[in-house]
Amino acid sequence: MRKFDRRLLAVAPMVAISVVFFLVPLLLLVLVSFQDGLALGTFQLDAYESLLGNAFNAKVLMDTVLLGLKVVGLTTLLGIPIGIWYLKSGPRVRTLLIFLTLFPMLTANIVRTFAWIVILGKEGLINATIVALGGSPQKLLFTEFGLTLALVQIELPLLVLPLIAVLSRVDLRAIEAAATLGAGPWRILLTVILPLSIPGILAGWILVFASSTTSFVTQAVIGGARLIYLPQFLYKEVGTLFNWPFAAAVAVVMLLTIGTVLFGLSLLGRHRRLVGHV
Amino acid sequence: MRSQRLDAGNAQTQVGKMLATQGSAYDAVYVSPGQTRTLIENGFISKIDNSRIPSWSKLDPRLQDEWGVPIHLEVDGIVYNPTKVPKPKGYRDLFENPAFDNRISFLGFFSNAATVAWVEIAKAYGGSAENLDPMFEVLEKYLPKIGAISNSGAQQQSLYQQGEVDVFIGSTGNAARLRQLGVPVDYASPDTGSQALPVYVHLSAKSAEPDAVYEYMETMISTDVQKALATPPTSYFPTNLEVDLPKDVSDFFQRDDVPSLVFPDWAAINANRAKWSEQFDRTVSH
Repeated sequence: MRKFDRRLLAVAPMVAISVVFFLVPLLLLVLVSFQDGLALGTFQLDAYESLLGNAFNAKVLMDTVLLGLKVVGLTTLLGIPIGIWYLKSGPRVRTLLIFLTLFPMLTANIVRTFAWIVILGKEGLINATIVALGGSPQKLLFTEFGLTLALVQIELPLLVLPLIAVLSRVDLRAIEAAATLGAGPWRILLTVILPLSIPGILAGWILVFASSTTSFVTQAVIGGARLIYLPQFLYKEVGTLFNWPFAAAVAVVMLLTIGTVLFGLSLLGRHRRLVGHV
Repeated sequence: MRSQRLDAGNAQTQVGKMLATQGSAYDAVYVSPGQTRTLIENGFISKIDNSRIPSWSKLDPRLQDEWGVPIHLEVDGIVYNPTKVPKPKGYRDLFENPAFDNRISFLGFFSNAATVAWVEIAKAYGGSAENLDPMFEVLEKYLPKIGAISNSGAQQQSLYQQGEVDVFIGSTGNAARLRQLGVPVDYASPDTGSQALPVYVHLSAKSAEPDAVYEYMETMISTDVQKALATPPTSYFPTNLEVDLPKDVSDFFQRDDVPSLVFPDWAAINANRAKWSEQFDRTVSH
């Protein structure tokens, strides 16, 4: 008989907590999504039928995924230059970059979100500048553009941190070797730096996508009620309409949709040809 | 005794907990009439014996109810900035007068106050408590001219303070709070009448301590507590007739105006709320 590994005891409390406070409630949530009301015991697909068979609900689902993908794309475009800057900098600038990345995270998400109202508002920073330059004020608050902009700023550290964590381990001699062999800056970027950054970028994508699609506060405050994404949709069903089987179905579909995208990204992270360089 | 703290914003949380526990979460619940209907329909609250509440006779008779004790009266209408826009005459004026273009914030059907206002808007355009189609047509037509559809009453007020909007559907209490903060504000009763949302304490049907609940009810409507609740920052409209309206309440609404209040048909509203809510989201989100 195999001997019991006592080290397993060390993880037992965490496993127990996860089972009791995560797995069991999650199973209950799935069960409720198949019920007629709150009492467990029936099995029906009504909630899923009315959720997925309705064009408006499907649009809310798609809009949520698209929002996450847009934020992922834009944070990547902004994050990679920061990563390269980090890679090419000395210890002082590197420390400064890490500090500047972490600094906004010391403020609560809700505070950063409210700060964006001041920036995007009718009399806010951007519109005041536009007016000062002779233009007319633009509607930025409660628009998808404004929401995406705010989310990109709020989520950017989640992409930059894993990226620079990976880049800090890069052997700079690989870049020097490429340069010695005649590669120009763009070729070095595309064939050396980016392939080496991929594990960090993928980790960042997972974090940014998960966080931006579920960012209830930012979506609600900057997007307003005219931009409807799954978190607000879910909140209304739970707290106002008390349609809990339907809300549970929304939660399960949200979990599966976001989970599928995240699973796809983590599969990419394990792809040998993509991350084999590191 | 188990009860939620005095915060009407928790009404939906209380109903949620009562539903989750099949009515045994609290001994007393403190909610608005919309939630009261849900509690009655689920059998979670009991009718009260008003002979056990000595101050019952001091209550405004128009607010006395067999299901609970009214703690304060929320009066809802139009809150506006008199330095930026003219005094609104009513709901039709908000849509049809260009002076309000891009200056109004509305809320969706998650809000009791907004739900009642949307019903009144429907009535103003030929609809009824059961038929909101005329309102949805008006909403769709004027949507580009609406400043914001907000996600909460608190968000609406912060937008007002920041000058993003200058008009919103709100209560005299909202106006009083904004005035306390030094923000220019006034309140207009719509020509169709302000809406009444009296907030009640109810006795839970499964309460293990009804005596304590009756004592709590008596305390909440006693003259001293009502006087305290009528002062800032709550500035509640008192239900106890022995309590004079403080200035920051009477600035916006008088006791003599109470007969003009519209008391919504919550049974009709609750029966249609889910359908309207979905229609509203669909209308505003395209």
